Amino acid sequence: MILFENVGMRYGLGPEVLHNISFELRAGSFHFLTGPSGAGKSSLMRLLYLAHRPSRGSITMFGKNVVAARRDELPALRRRIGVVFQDFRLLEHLTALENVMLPLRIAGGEEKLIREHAEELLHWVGLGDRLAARPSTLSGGEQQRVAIARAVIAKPDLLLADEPTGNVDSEMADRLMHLLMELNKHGTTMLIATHDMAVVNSMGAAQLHLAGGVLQLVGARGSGHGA
Amino acid sequence: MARRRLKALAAGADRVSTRLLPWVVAVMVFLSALALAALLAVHGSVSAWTGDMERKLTVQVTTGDQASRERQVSAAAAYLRALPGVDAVHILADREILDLLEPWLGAGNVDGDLPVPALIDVTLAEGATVHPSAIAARLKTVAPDASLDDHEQWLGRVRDLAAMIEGVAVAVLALVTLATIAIVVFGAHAGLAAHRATIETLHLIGAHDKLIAREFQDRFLLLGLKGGVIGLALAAASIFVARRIIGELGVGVLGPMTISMEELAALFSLPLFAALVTMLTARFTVLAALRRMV
Repeated sequence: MILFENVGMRYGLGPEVLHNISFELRAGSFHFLTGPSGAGKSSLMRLLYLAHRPSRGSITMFGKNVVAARRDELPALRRRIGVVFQDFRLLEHLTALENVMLPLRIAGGEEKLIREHAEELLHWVGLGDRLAARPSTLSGGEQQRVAIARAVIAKPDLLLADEPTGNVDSEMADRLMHLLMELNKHGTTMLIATHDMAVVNSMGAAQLHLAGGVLQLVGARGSGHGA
Repeated sequence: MARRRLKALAAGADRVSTRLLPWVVAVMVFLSALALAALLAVHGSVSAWTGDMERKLTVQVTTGDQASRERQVSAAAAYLRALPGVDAVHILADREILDLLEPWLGAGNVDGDLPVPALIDVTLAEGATVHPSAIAARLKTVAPDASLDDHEQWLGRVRDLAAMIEGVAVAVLALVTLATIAIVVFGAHAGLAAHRATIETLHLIGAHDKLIAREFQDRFLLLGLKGGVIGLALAAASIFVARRIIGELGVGVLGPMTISMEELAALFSLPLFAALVTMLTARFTVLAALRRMV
């Protein structure tokens, strides 16, 4: 479903931050993206959620060569990707419910159904009593769960989460990871960027390991992946 | 399908960049309305003058010999009445001629001893085509001291003046439009900066550029409309006062200064035009900025 072949990436005219990245994520797989700070995890995530184009190499997502894709073809691809940003990127002036509704409002649909679905999701992540809360009034863990609900509401084919446990205590981290595992069981392909090896080890999923912009190690304990 | 609105832009986030926009648009619409009103007034007055004068010929008979003068006037009038395309021929009485002079010489300063030419006022039929030079030449044979004025020289100067005033008004309208566009471009860029994080998030979760631009254009449409209505209200008050002052001064040269439904529609379209310019400028500015994102 996701295929990277000899991908390189640089910001502007700066040095290359990712070198010869090649891997494949099969549909329904669960991977961790690990590596120390500055290894290039966020850069790789930016390529995956189509915020950046590679400077070389080939990326195929959902059967589409995204390197050659026209700019106006990318929004449709982005709507197949759910992203939990490290800093959540919730819109401060919208309520938790409105934030979660946003992807479906963008995709279009009946407002009543979108609202019902968003409410259901917020109940599912344990925030049924905080529908009208603004993000600034929510704790880090609550914001994280709103961000997850927003990322999954459109039933994405691929879910990317950047350090989803970075801002929460270990108990909440455990709950969030199980939430993501549950989504994976429903068929969503997962890639979780983290430097929290305790979480990685506890889940036993496959991992892509980045160091110095190079994909050095590909763990193979999980299902359906290749390198 | 209903037009989708995300309402994703925080209402107050771009307050600093857009707070003054309605007032700027109001000033622009105010100036445009005054320029347009001036243009319409000049156009209307000139049309009225030229419309009247284009169908008029004036014959002067200048001789000091009273008997010859009366004979020539009668002969000239008879000749003119017989011409095809002539609707009416009016020989002005002495009193009427003196009345014409009174505004220039002052009331009471005109007496019967003043040597004035005899005047014949000729009104042409609607759509009639005549050849003034041929008429003037033939007139000389029946009234040797008669001369014909078809007012063409004066009309030409009036038309030139009107064209110049209209040109200036159109230039003012064009400059005001360009200035509005420049200001809105600045405002839209500032608005983009204020909403940068939101726009980036919308972009990354799959919003099309047009959907994001719509959020901006709707906001700017309202700001432009608000400013346009304020500007038109101020302009309407100014025009009303100006009309009253001109009416009280009795400046007949400007005509009755009536306003037609078409002209009224043109004035009322200014706020809509301003709002449209504001909206489209914001849209294209935002789309251009978004195209710089992946």
